[in-house]
Amino acid sequence: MTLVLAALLSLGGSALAAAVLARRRSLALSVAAGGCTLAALLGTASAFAQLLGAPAEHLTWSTPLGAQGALTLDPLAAWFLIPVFVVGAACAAYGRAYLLAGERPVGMQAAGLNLIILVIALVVLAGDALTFLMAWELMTVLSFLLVTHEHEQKEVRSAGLLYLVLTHAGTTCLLALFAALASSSGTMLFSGMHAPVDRRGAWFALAALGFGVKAGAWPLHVWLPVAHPVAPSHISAVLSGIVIKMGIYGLLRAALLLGPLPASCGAWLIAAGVASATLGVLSALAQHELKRLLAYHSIENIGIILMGAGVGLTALSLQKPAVAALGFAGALLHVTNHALFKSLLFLAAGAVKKACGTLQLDRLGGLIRTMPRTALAFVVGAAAISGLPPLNGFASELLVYLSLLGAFGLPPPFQAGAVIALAALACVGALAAACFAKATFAVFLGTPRTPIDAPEAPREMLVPMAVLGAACVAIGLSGPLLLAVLDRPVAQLAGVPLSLAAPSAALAVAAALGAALIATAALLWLLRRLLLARRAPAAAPTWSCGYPAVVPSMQYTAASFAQPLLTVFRRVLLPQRQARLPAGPFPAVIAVDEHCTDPVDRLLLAPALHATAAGFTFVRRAQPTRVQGYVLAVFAALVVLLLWRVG
Amino acid sequence: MRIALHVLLFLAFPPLLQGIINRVKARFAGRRGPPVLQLYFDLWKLLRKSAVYSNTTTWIFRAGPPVGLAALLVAALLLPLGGGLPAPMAFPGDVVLFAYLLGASRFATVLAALDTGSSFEGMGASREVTFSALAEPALFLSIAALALARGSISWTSVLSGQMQVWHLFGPALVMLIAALLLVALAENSRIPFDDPNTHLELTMVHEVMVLDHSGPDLALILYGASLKLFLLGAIVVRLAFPFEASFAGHLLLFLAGMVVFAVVVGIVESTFARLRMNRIPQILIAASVFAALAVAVILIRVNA
Repeated sequence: MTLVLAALLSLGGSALAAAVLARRRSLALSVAAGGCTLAALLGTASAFAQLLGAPAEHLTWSTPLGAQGALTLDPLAAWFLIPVFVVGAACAAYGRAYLLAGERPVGMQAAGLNLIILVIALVVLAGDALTFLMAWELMTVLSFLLVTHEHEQKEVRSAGLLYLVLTHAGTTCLLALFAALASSSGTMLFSGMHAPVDRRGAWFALAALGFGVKAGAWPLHVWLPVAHPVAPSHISAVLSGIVIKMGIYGLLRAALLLGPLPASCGAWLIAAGVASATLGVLSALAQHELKRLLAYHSIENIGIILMGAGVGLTALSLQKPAVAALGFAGALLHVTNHALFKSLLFLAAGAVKKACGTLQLDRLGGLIRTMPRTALAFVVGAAAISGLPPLNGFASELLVYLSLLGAFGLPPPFQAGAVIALAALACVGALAAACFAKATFAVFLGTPRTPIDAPEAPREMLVPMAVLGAACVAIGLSGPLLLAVLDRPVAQLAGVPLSLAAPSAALAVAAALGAALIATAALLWLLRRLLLARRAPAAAPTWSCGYPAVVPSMQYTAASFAQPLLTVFRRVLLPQRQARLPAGPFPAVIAVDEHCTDPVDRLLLAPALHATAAGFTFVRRAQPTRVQGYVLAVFAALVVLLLWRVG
Repeated sequence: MRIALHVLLFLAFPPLLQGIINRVKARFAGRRGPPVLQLYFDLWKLLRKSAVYSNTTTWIFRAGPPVGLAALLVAALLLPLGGGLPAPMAFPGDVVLFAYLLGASRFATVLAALDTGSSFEGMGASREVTFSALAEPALFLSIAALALARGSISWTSVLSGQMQVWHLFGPALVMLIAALLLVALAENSRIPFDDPNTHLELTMVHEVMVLDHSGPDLALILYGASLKLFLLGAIVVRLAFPFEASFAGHLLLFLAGMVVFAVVVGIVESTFARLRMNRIPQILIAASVFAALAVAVILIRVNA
């Protein structure tokens, strides 16, 4: 605990120093990044010690009013702390160069990033409801402030507002959940909380709603693709890498607090996971802006995590702890993996944005020539998020697959559900690869679609990307070693340790074949070099089937690349199409405009928000303008309450 | 020794399939056709040639063929030939690794095609990812059906001792073989999904992706394509010919099965026309439906 507290102190102290030094931009940002890096070193050391067997630690206190508070470092908390600190440090280091290039004041951003890492760590460490909710609320407010960095743009302000409104709606559910838990168990401490058996399902639904909004699970995801693109890129990385993971953490913690749940809870989570994963990846395919595309992929990956967690909870309540352990292991590992590769992708996107000033896919292209290192980082992230061996995304998806295959041993309705989830996950994997092929192609490959002079990102931005990319490769190749660190958090969730034989064999062979893949590819590369050594290859323009006057605008575009898939899935995506088709013998204007706005946003949320706003407007108009009117209203309310109490 | 034999078989045999298919097609067309070993000659010739690289391409283009072939070679280690030749590497769930290695191979090929900046190759890549995304559920539903029928999820166990499964779930297995055959044809860009003979037309998938590859790179790609056909064909053959025999007899039986598979592909290519592009998703979804029906039949039998 001492090391973690030192890490928190380092974060808080450097945030304060950065705020004080805000006028000296470079120094303030250096102090903040340094504090964050130090905190990462201290915090991950402590978390690894916890994962490798140190006993759980508690720090308790009581307030003058009698409420008790606690910080707890247990294996589950330790597992979530690692990505928080690692991604936080990488983003702080990257943010220094990113913000120095701009003109705005940086004090708020520098201090804000460290503070949000601090409160996220507090969310994870909180051992009582009050500390948890306060840290949760601070996390929401701080992320709102960080997202609205460029607040003079209307789009940024409205995105921030949407985020604030939706997450507060979620927090209401959490307030209700913790109030119910605290009043039924008579304590605010997590260690003493328990729930009556017949209420657990309903209370878990509250937790799923409240934490689901933060996690961005479909259909509560609407804020996510709106808020991510407008934030500075390293803040998007923090949001997507770790803030949304707090929804998953909260859900798992709530499941622990509530005790054994009905099997339907897990089944609903699997269903939410399937919906989030498939709809997330399909919507991502339809996007034309890189950060929006990445944001939709966060929804997809949250879906994969929810599938694993759902299998875990279902199998747990059906007394299949070995399957439950696999599900939880897949979910937990995917949390870390997604934190790593998604922040890597956002940081690479930020480098592109800084170099080119735009992330519109149809205006970019060919950047691999001028930004080779950023391109390499992006390709590694893209392969990892597509779940391709030998990278880390495959290791966690394999565990989720194994848990779904293990769920074939459950009773028939769950069996059928597992088959559907398996097919959906397979389709999602292929679609994710398709979408990242599109993104990589549109940004980095081919020839530039608009003439842009894009310089390579500076070293300060490349190093954090390199660290994250190396972590992706290392996790992918570490095989059964992963089980050593996963064992304790999984045991905490599933009640039994991960039964080692099956997943360890799977991860060992996967890692071995991953290494074999790299080695074979290297050998074939060498073979070609040897063969071509004596016959120097020639250079020529790309073969265009004999057409001589090729220009960059003739290249395939991201939109045309995705079009066949979008056509197949148009019933799901509901694209809006405006067409002016040729009419008459001499058609003047021919235009087709098709875009996919989020159906949940368009058909569900926007009408609901408008109705709410209209209701509030009515209340505002109806409120009395004189003070006597207010007094009368208060009096009337009092009378009503008295009558209700007496009656 | 057996591992060496396994590897040797997977390394040496695949190009022969292509020769057999082309021979069958030639016979149907009333021609004599190229020698059965033609692809071996082509590979040997290409390996000794120089290459032409487009000015637009980068290391992504050069990495495509080695990575694409390496992933397929590694995937071959997971496939058992049954009888005396179990897979060199196996674990419960290796079916997933197999499918994702095929995915890695495809990702490398697709990125290499897109690296050229050619709209033809972009078009081919776009179609490749579309059809493979639709074929993936069919493949995994088939895997799920086999796993439910056998109670195990490794290729080695799923593809051995099929006689018993035939007795229990015969009709389901017929549907599975149909689904897997469609997946194999789609993944390998063969008729009715794509015509490997129509070079330089707007309708093709795989061939158009590799337009810019030449010399040793093209050799790696052609060999990889034949290996992929061999891998997916081997699954179909193991399911359709479930007989077990002595070691040598079994090997002969398997190779004979692969020849039959090649002849069937040749007959399909000679008697069917390539489908219109917008029909292909429907056929692939039909393959998923076949596999889903098989799952339903097996689930009902198992739980009855």
